[in-house]
Amino acid sequence: MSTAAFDLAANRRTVRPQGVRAFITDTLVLTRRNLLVSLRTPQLVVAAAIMPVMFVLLFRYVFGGSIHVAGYPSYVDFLIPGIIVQTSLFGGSSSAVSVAEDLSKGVTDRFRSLPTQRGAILTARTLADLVRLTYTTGLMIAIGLLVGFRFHNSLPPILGGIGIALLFGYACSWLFTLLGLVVRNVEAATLLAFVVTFPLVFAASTFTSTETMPGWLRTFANGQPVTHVINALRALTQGTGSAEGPVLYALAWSVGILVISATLATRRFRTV
Amino acid sequence: MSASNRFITVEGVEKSFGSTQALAGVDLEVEQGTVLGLLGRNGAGKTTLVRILATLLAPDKGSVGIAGLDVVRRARMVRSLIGFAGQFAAVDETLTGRENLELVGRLYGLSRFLAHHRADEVLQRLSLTQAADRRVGTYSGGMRRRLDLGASLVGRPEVLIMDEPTTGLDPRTRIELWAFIDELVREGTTLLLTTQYLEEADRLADSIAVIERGRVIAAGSPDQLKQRFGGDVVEVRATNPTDVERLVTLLNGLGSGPPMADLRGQRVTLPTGERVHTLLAAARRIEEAGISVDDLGVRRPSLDDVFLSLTQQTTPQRPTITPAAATA
Ligand SMILES: Nc1ncnc2c1ncn2[C@@H]1O[C@H](COP(=O)(O)OP(=O)(O)O)[C@@H](O)[C@H]1O
Ligand SMILES: [Mg+2]
Repeated sequence: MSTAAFDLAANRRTVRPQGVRAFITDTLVLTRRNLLVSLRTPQLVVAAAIMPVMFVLLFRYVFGGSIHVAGYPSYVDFLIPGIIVQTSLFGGSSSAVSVAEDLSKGVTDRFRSLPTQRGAILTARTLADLVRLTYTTGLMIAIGLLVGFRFHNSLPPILGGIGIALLFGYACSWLFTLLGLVVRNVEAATLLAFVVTFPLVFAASTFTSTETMPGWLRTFANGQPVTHVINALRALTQGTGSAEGPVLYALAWSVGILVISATLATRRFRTV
Repeated sequence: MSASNRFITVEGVEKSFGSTQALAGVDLEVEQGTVLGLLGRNGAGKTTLVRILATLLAPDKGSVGIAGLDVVRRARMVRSLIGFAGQFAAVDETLTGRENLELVGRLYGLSRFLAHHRADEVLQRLSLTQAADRRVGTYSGGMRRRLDLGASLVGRPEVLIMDEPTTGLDPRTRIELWAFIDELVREGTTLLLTTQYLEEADRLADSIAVIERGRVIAAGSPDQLKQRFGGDVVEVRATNPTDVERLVTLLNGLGSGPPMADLRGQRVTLPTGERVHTLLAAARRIEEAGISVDDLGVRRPSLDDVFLSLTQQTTPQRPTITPAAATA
């Protein structure tokens, strides 16, 4: 095939450089797009806040009176860290739906046909999730403070605890991005997000101690990541018990989920 | 076609999804500055081929080159050269028209200033300036499609790839879009578009490739394809739709090929080399059988006839359904 003429034509065009700078620009441009889209979908913004607020009110005022957890004279101090992590997981799970939506609408095809860094497309997706997550976490703390939640530790461990919760949420956002890429279809992604998050949130130390659960359930609850992350956050914000064990487990789980999901999602993205 | 003019080359491309073979060895060539119409029904493999050209999918076998660049190995470079408008309008409903275009401009690597400028330019060309700052959610289907096409133009591509650009549009919007595509071609853009509409391929394309079950079953200029069909066509329109099948049986053996039915149009067409002779023979038989017909005549073959006769050869089990009826 004689191609010299076209090679010239092609080279005359400014072909987009593909360095770190292009990656950063693309990531920022796309993160902004993702945030704009969710800001302008008021149902999303409200839904992201309303559900956890309902849980706070429900457990603080309806069930809270009859739940007693050893070491926590005030149940609300036990509850709010659980709610924060629950919110991270629910927030991350919405990624599966957005990813599937962009795939089925052809938006992803458009982005992938541009001289854009492909890694930037997924990174931007999860970064936008992280921004949203920071907002809902802040909101949960504010609401918690309104209904009587208090920190009982110094600032560095408190910030560390919140950092761990956000890291876990970020890892979940990659996990659900991967799931969205695999199922591709909005309805299936919605269902899958629910099926995955539900047992992780409720078979955990989110609302009560795992001590009273039947043996088989306790084994699952004590082993799974949500319990570790919540326990780490509680220990760091309340100064109850030793933080070291839960923090190590929480970090290991979060980093593990993050690395594996991000790798698989990036690989999957090449062939969607 | 001179070798140096092959701007897009597709050689022996195969692609399977699980056990479905979407492309079973496709060869194509497109000259620079021309329009190739890829014509085929639903499920023929058009989208799969177009996604390979747009670097979205890697072929299992074979190679694809755009401007001498291999779309797999030099994908990044190819992406700077092409504009892609997929089968569904891929625009964000929550963003405004302008925001959608600026986003694409930024992703082409344009500065914020240049992206803004190009968005303006494209909005103007597509007569969307009035609606530029409205959210796309409030746009009509035609406006969305135009914006989507606009998004593929922001990078001023040398090659434009469009997957069924006018499917689902009303006739007036379709004609507007055709005029716009003509304009792009006059400016030297090389265009590959897929369509289910023969009329569209005839109207827009310099050359047509008919694709069926993942294979190109015919290729050439619209005129070449019509000539390939050979001769003329005797056409009968039945008064009652129920008589169409009877007419097919009745006219069998009279022409140079088997008669074909268009159920929706209540018509039967018959290829022939001897116009008058076949017409008279057909008239006699129809009269003898006592079938009531609204119209009977001889005409030049249309692309529809070509498509029918081509797909008939590859789908012998259902020879009498037209693509128009099958893909509606
Ligand atoms: N991602 C996919 N997974 C499985 N099968 C697919 C996929 N994409 C296309 N196909 C199949 O490949 C064939 C060709 O599809 P496609 O290229 O979309 O045809 P067209 O665009 O001409 O309607 C069809 O049988 C379709 O079902
Ligand atoms: Mg298609």
